[in-house]
Amino acid sequence: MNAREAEKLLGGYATGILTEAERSALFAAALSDQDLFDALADEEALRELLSDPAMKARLMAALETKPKVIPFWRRPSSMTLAASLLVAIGATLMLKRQHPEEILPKPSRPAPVMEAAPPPKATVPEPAKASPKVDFRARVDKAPAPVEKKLAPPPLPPPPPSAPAPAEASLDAAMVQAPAERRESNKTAQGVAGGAVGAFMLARSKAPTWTWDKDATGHPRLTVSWGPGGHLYLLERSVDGARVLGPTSESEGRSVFSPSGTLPLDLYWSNAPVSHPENLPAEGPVAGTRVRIQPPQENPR
Amino acid sequence: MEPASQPTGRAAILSTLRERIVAYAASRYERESAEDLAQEVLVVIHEKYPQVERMEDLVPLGFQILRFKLAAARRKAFRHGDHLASDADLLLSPDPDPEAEAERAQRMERLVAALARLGDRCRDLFRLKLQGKGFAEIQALLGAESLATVYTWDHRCRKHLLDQMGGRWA
Repeated sequence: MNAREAEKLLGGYATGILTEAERSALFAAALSDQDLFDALADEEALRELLSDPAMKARLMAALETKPKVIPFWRRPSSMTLAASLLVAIGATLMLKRQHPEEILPKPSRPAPVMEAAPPPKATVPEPAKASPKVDFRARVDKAPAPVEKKLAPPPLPPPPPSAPAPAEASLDAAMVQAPAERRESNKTAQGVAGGAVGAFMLARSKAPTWTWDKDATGHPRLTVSWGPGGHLYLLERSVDGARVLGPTSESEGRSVFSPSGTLPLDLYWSNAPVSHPENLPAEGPVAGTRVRIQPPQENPR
Repeated sequence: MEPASQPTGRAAILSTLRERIVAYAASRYERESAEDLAQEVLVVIHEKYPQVERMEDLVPLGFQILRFKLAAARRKAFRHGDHLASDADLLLSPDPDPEAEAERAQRMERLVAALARLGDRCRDLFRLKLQGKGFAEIQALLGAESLATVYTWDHRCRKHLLDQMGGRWA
């Protein structure tokens, strides 16, 4: 037996199961082959270990208990991982089908444009506490807007009885109540007055405010106040034309007007004086801001 | 199974055994001490076991003494000064060496762990060997086609186990 064949007997040496013939063949081969001798000498450590009955018994016990091999599909961690992956893939596919544009990367877009405001509503100032029977109405004209054939005020819905009634109306309030109209007006002012600087200055100045009341004879009376930095004009329009109620180019102040009380008024406020305010347009763009003030109506109650 | 050409006679066997021990000790320990180590082994065999004549007894006896001598030499390297001869008698001493016992316990733990990582066939093979079954019996029990098949299985399993142990039993 050569060394290669005898090498197969090495495993039997430590456990002592070799027959006498096998032992003789193995040792003879070891004496004639250094590698086999070295391997056999190394095997002595195992042989010495297995020669101890206590050690042998312990090894036997370890070999009797078969190591528990749990299939991967019955391991909780594997099941959890598989379920998580399944849910993630399912959710991704569902989202992709429902909102494909949200899944895909969005292309870069310019800054969002502000949405158009809702249709303009008539701003209805409530009567002051001093004269509860009078309705105060102000409407900001849009520019451009359809040309009015008649200057008679359009019918407006009555104000809700439970709504709070402001004591006075103002251009700011009108602008706040109709932001879309305010933007249009500002846009118009910029375009006609020839620059954003004027509009900025106009916006910075104190906007006019007005109140309706009655004089001693019971005639309607309009009181307008305005701050510096603007020029105010008040026109009463009828089928015969426009009548300037004034003031013309006061820089700041407070004036009381006595309009007819039945015709609508146009309040102009610009950052530059106007030489012929009677020619200020009733419709279309104006150099500044225009507010239509409806005449007061008697409270039916 | 015919034995390989072997030296006959005690003197011839011991002479061959000495050459193998020197080469082995040189490869596993120190080349300078290999001659002395082999000489120590032969002295023990000559003095303690003069009645042993057969090769089948002399070779495993030489392995056993060599193992103790190597262990003693390694311990001596830590102690600095003890002579190899003082440890040579440990293999004949009935009292267990505490350090050797600790090493055995550690070796046992490694072996148990390595066996747990073997396949079913290797575990069955090792278990049958521990039960004292010879290769012929194992062939019948495991249903191997031939005895050579069992030898091959055992050779592979032993190699796998040795790899699991880190390449050495000790």
